[in-house]
Amino acid sequence: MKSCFRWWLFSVFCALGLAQALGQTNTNVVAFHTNAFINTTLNLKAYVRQPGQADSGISVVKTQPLSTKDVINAIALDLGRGTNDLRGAKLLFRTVDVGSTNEQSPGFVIRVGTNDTDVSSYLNITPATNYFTTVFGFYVSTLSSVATERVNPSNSSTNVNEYTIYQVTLNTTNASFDLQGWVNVTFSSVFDKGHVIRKAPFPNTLNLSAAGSGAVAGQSAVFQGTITASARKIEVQSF
Amino acid sequence: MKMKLMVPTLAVAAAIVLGGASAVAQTNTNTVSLHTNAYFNVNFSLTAYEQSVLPFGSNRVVLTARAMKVGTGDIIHTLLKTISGASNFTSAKLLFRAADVTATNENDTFVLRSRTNEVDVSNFLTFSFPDKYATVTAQMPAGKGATTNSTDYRIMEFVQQSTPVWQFDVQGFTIVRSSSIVDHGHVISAPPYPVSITAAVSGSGNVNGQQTIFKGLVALTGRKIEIK
Repeated sequence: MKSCFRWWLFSVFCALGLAQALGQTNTNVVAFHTNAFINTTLNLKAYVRQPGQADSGISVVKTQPLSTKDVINAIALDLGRGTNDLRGAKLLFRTVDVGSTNEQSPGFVIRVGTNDTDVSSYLNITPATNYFTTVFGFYVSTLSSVATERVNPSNSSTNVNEYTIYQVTLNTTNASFDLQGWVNVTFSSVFDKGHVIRKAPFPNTLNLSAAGSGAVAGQSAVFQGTITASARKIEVQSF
Repeated sequence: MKMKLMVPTLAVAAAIVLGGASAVAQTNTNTVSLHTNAYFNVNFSLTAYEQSVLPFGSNRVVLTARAMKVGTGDIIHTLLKTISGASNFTSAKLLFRAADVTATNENDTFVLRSRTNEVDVSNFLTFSFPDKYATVTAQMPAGKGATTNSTDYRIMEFVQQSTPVWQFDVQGFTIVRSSSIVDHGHVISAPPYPVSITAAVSGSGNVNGQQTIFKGLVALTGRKIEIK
């Protein structure tokens, strides 16, 4: 770890009121991570094909909501954990080591009490790239986004309001989907107790209107709705 | 990839019921083919967020998003600027045409119509139902006469390309309401055929070469059957 990063890490932890950045338990070094968490809420409507009745010329579609709780329960089932075990669980969007040179790609975790379980292999959100633009007259698939920046010269921080297209996928036994849609993401520099942790803009809130298809309990379904993320919080964790 | 609006072949019967003396009429030695076409009014109502930049200080710029409305009239205007020979298309309408509706060779395209003139704009404006997404259908018999109503829930994509000013690729949640084709009480085609299509779409593209994100509604409504 570079000396400048150590200094930065030390200043961050001091600012957060920690007695020390590194603590020793017996002979083991405990590493601390400064992580960003954003609460995530899903509010989807599923149009689910109902089985049977095909021979009668009648086919029935049932609409049902698919909420954050439903997604957490679907993941919990695949994790081998009962839904009771995850009572009060939260779905969070986590970025580990935010602002550091080791900053990791964000992913979803389910939090129960003080325990976080990485569920990014089940639920994933990424910028969509299957849209075209022209480069020298040729159509190419690319990521497109549009942004408004607001610079605060007094502390060199920058706020960004971005419009782009995201893709969200869920892969569990009981529920799955592949959605895509318009998203408005706001970014801001990351402060904690007045100290700058990350000057470059970092996601603060996300509002996604998405649609796509998948399955609910083995039946084909078309989905539409919103996914929102808000209330960014910085936490120092050891894991 | 285009996907046709699926309906069995009944074009000949349709032509008869709709008043054609025969599906194929002969004038002198020339054979005149009649086509049963379905037309839909098309309405685009999009908001475009176009990227632009503003100077900030003496040595840098900041990004700024400029919102603008893109409606059907704007799309017609840019299509007319693109298509050669369309200069006489005053008061043109943008329509969705299903040619030879219910036939195996049904051909679905967007067209511009001015009075009795039509020009196919499918090189510039297209639609598709992307294969990666499923369709869910609710279907019920509708009253007397062996007619059927259905509602499809699916994802539809619209692409405008090779036109000046702007280009886009948008897709989203779509409701396709369909019913049997009936004319003056006669059932022309019992299987449900689209009556209206409404899509809440979003996607990207560019305006004047600047990256742009689009969001809004596309509606195909007012199905009308014409025999030509």
